[in-house]
Amino acid sequence: MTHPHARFLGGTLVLEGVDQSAVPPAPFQWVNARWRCPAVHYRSVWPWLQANQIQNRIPRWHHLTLTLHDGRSPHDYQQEALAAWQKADCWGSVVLPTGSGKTFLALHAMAQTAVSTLVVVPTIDLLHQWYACLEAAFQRPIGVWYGQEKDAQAITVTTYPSAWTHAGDLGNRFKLLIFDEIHHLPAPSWHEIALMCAAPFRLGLTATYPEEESDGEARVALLDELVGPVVYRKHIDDLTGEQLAEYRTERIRIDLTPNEREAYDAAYGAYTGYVRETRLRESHGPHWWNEYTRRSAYNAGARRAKVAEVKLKEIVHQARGKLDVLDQLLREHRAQPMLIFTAHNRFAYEIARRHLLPVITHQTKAAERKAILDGFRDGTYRAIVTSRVLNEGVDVPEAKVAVVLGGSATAREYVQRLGRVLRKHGNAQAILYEVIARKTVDERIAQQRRKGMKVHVSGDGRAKS
Amino acid sequence: MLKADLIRPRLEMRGGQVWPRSLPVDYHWLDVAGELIALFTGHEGHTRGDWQAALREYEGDSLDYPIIRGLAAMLEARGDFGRSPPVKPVALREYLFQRGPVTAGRDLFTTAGREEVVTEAAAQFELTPAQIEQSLFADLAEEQILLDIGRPLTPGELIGRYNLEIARGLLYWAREVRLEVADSYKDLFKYIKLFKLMHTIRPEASGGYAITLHGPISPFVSSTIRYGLQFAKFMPALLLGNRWRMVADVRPPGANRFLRYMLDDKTELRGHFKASGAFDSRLEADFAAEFAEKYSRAKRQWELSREDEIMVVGDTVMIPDFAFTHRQDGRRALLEIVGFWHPNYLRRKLEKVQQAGREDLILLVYESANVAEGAFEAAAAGEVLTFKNKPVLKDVLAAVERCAR
Repeated sequence: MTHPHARFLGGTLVLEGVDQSAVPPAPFQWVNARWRCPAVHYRSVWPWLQANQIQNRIPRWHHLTLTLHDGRSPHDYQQEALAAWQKADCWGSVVLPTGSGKTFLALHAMAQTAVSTLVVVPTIDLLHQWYACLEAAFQRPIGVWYGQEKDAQAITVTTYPSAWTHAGDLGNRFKLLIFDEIHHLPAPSWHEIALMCAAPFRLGLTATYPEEESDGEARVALLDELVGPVVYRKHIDDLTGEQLAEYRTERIRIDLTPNEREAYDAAYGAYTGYVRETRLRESHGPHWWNEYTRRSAYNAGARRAKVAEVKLKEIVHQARGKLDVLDQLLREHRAQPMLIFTAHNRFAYEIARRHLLPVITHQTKAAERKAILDGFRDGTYRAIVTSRVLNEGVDVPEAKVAVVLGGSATAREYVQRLGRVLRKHGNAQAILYEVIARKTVDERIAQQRRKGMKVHVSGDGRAKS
Repeated sequence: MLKADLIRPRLEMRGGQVWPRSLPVDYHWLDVAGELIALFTGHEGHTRGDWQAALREYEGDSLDYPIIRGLAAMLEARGDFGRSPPVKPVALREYLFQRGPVTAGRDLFTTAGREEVVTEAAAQFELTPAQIEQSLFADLAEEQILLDIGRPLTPGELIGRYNLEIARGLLYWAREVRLEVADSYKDLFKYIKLFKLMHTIRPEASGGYAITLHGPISPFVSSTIRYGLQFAKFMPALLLGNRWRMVADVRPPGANRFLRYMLDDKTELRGHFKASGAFDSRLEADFAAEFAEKYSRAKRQWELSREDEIMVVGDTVMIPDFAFTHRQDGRRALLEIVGFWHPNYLRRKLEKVQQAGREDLILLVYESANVAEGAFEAAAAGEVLTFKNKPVLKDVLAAVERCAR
């Protein structure tokens, strides 16, 4: 009695009103009294639906009228890549080196196919970057779908974790899927995103496609099956060759206030006392930190040490003296764009409030974030304060002055990143300030951060009088 | 629902098994629960940030922090946080930050200090400087104000709720949940559908049913925990029944394989889902009452039971309102009363009846039901009786006699 039709159900395709005696294509299996298959097979089964007059209620995607507002013309290799992808029925991956304009290629792929598109990216920072880029390129509302904002539009950007969680609902709303950094896709859960989407057009982008020899055939085979094979690959050994200018790093040391010092010393004593007494470094070598963290979940002494450690870092990362230095730097560099980095959100918001300058944290929503970065580029805003959100893979706007008020030793990458920002335009005036609390863990953290960084340090910085 | 990192510390793993550690309702924990309730209540009118800071203070360096945070999260989830600033914070920030940055130190080049800019903004938005300060980041979660703590819980209730959350939270990492149930089928399937779970079902020799819960993609992947959250949401529905057993395969972080998580009707957990009433409609209640009245225990040939059989219909189920079982020979017939319902409901029922194709299913159709005359007769394999005001018991029993098998 039900008119035969195919529908999308939680990442699968289900045939309704088609009984067991039918002979649908191979991917379909008779499960729970219905023919079913994972949605990825839409591309291969829809001709059969059509031939058998089974009404196709699967797609909820649209054709769009897209105008690409980007005057740059594609490089030869970008054009070749695009042609190869289209020749492969818009099904496969493109491997290009870092910095060769993979996003730009994606924009052209979208403009050419002009259909509802879901872009899947590894991090929230990249999500924001794609959002800004897509909005500028197509000048239409762009959806973002992640932890704190869930707004699906005809063109939507999401993260791998969010796409995984919501693939069952989003899977039939986009005809084109773009996987940025597609080497993440073969992970145990994440490949389900590709499995559960019906999109017949798919584009994978990466600089580091898994290799059969080193990553195993299974990963490559999985990508072949879910997104298609590599349709274009280009190695470009040295893209840039641009001259990088030196920039200065200055360290500014500040003293803790007497109150801060007292609280710091007490916390520091409690923390190091535990580590010393338990001889953790001796017994666990380089892994002592993991052991200490593990113990803090059940051992009272370790837990006390952990609480003390959090406390002492809070004191150091938000030392009042750092605020005084920042006040002075803002006045000294009043004519130059400045990026300010903090270790904690709370400190970032305090600075924003105190100095009335825009702040970006992981809580900042896509639209405001883009407005802030745009405003910074066009000079409306002279300074931005941010906790550690502008990291690897993200286009940090160019700045002449960067001020690092706090950060962990492992934040080395972002300082390097920052170095690149400052060097960008051969700009010898650029300065990176590191503001460090004297005689605290800050000094060691800064030192570790510095290791591996080839920067020119001028003198021993200046002390604030 | 509690976050995964508040569940993990409460798990115990041994051998191939895992189970949640319940918090005892003892003097110590009642005390802690009571203090947290008081702390939360005391923060009515304050920001979430203040409440969270107070909580950190309370927790200090206690090793019980995962429990304290869990209990607190239960309270926080019940609270109503909100804020309606007199100006949109994003618009206010744009205005203010375009006039910044300002500095505390002044020099020759300083054009405006913080105070001037804020005063100017206050004039622009027709607010006081204090309102400007309060609105600046009013859209951040930690700036929201606790408006209402919700219905107050006693310390004992809080611990009970917490234990339930831990027990269901373990299912976040489940790939499959297997159930054996022997009552409350209607409620059970109501929640299975509500949480968009799929099921396979088979009757058991001992009576009752074995039901396996999974999701649409499960049959096509080796194992997935993507339906864990739905399993966890569904779990309290089990507590509505009196005879059930659950076995789940779960793989919490830190486990290198799937472990068994078992729970049954002897648990002390109490759910908060509402059981539906004994009867879906007046018609059914009246029917059962009339039967009980007219046929006393001694003289009845047929025993009447309520919703005790599940009919599998394609990938869904139908649970007829009543079953008649013969006292001597055990023959059975099923009865479904079709009252005055929405046309969509009737259409679905019609489809199910047809698909079921059961000759032992009797339909008792209210004459004014929203359906074309003869529609049920055309669809049903068993008998269809219609009635005007109320069903005639004698006629029903005659049909039972004919259809039972």
